[in-house]
Amino acid sequence: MPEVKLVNVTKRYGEILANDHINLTIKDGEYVSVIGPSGCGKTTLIKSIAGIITPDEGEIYIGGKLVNNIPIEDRSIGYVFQNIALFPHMTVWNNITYGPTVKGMVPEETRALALEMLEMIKLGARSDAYPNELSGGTQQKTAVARALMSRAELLLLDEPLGALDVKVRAELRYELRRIVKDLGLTALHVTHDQEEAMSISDRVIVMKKGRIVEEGAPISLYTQPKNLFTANFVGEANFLTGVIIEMAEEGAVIEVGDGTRLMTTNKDRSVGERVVIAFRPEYATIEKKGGTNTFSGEIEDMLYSGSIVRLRVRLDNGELIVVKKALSLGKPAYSAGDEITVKVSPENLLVYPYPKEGLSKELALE
Amino acid sequence: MGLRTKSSNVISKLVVWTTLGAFIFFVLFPTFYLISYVFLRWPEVQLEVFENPIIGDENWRQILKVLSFSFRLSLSAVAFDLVFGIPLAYVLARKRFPGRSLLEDIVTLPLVIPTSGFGFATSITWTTVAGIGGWLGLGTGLVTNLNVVIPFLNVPIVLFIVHVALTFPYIVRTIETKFESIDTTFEIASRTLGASSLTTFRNILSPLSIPGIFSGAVLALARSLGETGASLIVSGVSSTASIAIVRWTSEFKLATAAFMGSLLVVIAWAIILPAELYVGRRGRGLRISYQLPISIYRKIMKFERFASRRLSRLKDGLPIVVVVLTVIVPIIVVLNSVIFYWSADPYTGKVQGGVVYQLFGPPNYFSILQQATVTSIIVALTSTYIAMCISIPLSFIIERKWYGEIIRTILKVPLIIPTSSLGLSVLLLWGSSGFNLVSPGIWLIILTHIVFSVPVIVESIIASYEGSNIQMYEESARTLGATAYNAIEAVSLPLIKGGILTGFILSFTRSLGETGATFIVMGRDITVPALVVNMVEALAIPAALFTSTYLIVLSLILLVIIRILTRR
Ligand SMILES: Nc1ncnc2c1ncn2[C@@H]1O[C@H](COP(=O)(O)OP(=O)(O)OP(=O)(O)O)[C@@H](O)[C@H]1O
Ligand SMILES: [Mg+2]
Repeated sequence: MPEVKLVNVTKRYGEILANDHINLTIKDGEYVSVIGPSGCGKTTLIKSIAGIITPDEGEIYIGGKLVNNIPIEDRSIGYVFQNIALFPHMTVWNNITYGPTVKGMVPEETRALALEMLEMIKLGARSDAYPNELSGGTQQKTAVARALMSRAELLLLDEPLGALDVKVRAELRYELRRIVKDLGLTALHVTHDQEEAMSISDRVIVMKKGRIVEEGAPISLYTQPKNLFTANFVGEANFLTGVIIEMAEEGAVIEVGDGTRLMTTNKDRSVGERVVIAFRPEYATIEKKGGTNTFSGEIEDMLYSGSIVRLRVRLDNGELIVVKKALSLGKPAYSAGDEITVKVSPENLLVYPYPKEGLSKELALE
Repeated sequence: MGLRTKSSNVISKLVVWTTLGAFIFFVLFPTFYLISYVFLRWPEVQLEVFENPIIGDENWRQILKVLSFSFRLSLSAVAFDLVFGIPLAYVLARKRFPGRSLLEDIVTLPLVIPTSGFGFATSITWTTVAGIGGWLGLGTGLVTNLNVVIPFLNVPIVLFIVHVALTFPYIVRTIETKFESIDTTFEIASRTLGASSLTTFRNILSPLSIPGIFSGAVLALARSLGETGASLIVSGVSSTASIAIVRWTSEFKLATAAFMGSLLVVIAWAIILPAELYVGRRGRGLRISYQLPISIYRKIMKFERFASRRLSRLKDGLPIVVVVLTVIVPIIVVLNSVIFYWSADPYTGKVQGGVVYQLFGPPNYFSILQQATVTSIIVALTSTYIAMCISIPLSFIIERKWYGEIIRTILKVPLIIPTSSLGLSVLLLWGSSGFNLVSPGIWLIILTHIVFSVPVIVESIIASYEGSNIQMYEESARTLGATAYNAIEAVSLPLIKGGILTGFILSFTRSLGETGATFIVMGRDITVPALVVNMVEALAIPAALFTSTYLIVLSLILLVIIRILTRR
């Protein structure tokens, strides 16, 4: 039932365009994430759907009904706030039964529902505790439970896991998706954590400066981002500029800097076009000297993070790229200062037209 | 290095002891002397109050009568304040609209205007043809005279209006501040869960604000119980407890007045202390849960839903009407009347009834007014200056010594005890029946004003101290090698300059407008607010009109200055 549709939704704060003609449809039962850098308008978007913010232009439909003039309390949504916002003067029990109570639900029914909910989020033992007596994770679960208790079929979550530590966050992520799917809800989940978005949702929407720049399934956003901003924002990427010197059978051949030539599988470009090549650090391999699709450079430094080591390589043409390798035990195979050769196979190279306003401007987060 | 530390230690000890000494001498003694007076002279009190050879316990019955009257008046004024003040506080705290800060200023105005001038303005607004009655074309005042009472409450209507106007700011501003401190997300969360805005207010905002509502009500109640200046002018034949103290003192029924005054002090304590303890607890609001039958509950929520939509105009509008009627209209009426009465009485045409004649003619009120202005300013400046000298070091002591909280709580007392009690206490302590050091007159006024100026300034300084991270800065200054004294001088003083400045202005205005205590201790010197009372009693209405206008304009100017200083 709760299909959500936004048509040209626009919100201005003085000069700032917080939402710029947003068009978006969320299907019934879909779990959608919105990601984007800080200040890109994610909260504005989700608050507009909830009715907390009134957009300056555009229409919002929930379940096919225009809701622009419907006050918050009648939109029948569950909203989980970035700062949790459990009522501090109420126990867990009173917090989660608040929605049904103010909606005038029969007390016995409320009770049954609350017990079920506490069971589901495994909180039964803490139902008499006040919010300030709970850990961050438990508070967060309670906040979700409170939103679910109002029996809304549309759940809006604004960075619901933002305040938690990494472990708890990863754990709750799966729980959240399980609950939403079990109950057959529609969910819109705002986050700036792209990993969270990837792992929790059916579809991811990328925003930049108040606009939607791209949307798609998590995998395709990662492997086949349609534009440079997404390639940069979702995961990590190296960027090299170059010019197409030949359109071969298999795809474009691109020259980057002092004569290095790279084969790609991209077919819809033309000779002489200025382009940007992007590739993920983990798709680059370190090879013996020579061979096709390689460039050589010197390792500037090595950064270890958990299971991974990042080599920063200064190419002979002066550009800096990052190569990611799994950390292996034993004596490290490379060290800073080594001359190495890096290879990226043609199917892992993404090709984009060179942006009109320059590369750094296109990639900038603001 | 070692030598310097030692000498600065001695200096800081010296500062602490001098400050505490001054605090005890100037603030503590006068505040609590009245009670000890009653104990020390109990036989005398008993004789005069309970076992008077001529009138028996008539004085005691009088005391009970004025006390019950005072409480009826104050409690009903506070109840009225709450009904209209809470919606207004909500609007001021939660809505942004043009004219918001102007409205805020207007609400605050009665705190700044000297009460006797304001009381006079209110009385002509409601009871004379120059006021609302005339505007409505009645040919008389809207209320026939000052003694018309509200049915059931049996409280004079004009007196009630004045008390509402004078206590309204305490309720509105305290609750507004509390509302502002509560994150709006709680209310939005409640609404996303399906509660209308009124239901949200009942379930979320009001329980979370109970401490603020409580302390606002306590402040307003204390203010109303202690109000003297305006009540002297509008009370007609009734007498509040504070007026009774003034009257009995002037009739030399000192024991009765002292007994009554200490009763008021004790009552004020009994109200404040539990409130302080309750509000001071770190609890985040009232935790209540109650069960209503579901059918009634549904009806309540349906009504709240309806009211949230349809009645919100009414809820926003009525408090503003209250403010306009009780604050704006009296000011306009007074300003208007001065012009009206300028050269002659507009109704009889007699020049003797004009402002000019009374000021510059034979009554020669102008020279008295000049004299009173000089006295008022000397009093306000001197008492504020001495109070500053005590308050600045005292604030530092409060912030860092273990007994600081105790001093701070004691300092609440002079803020809330009726000023007439305070005046009487000072008179008995320093005057001829006590140490006989100072006789009534300007010096005794100054000594009295210091008592309430110190807490006003200390509170402002502490507010700005706690609002900034001074402790942290000071500590970092000290880790950099500054001694405690240097740290205060170099780091803290500049940071709390704003608080000191605000304290100065608040204390100055308060001193300038004070009537109740001044009336008791002034002897033959007279301040401007007390002059207004005398003029009204002498029926020199045009002169009173002019003097009230003068006071109101003066305080408007001060308000503008406060505004500019507290902005940023
Ligand atoms: N009440 C407001 N007044 C003025 N500007 C605002 C207001 N709320 C948001 N903005 C601006 O609108 C833009 C979008 O804000 P929004 O809160 O939607 O960003 P966001 O994507 O949620 O960011 P974050 O990830 O930091 O939460 C920002 O530039 C912000 O500064
Ligand atoms: Mg946000």
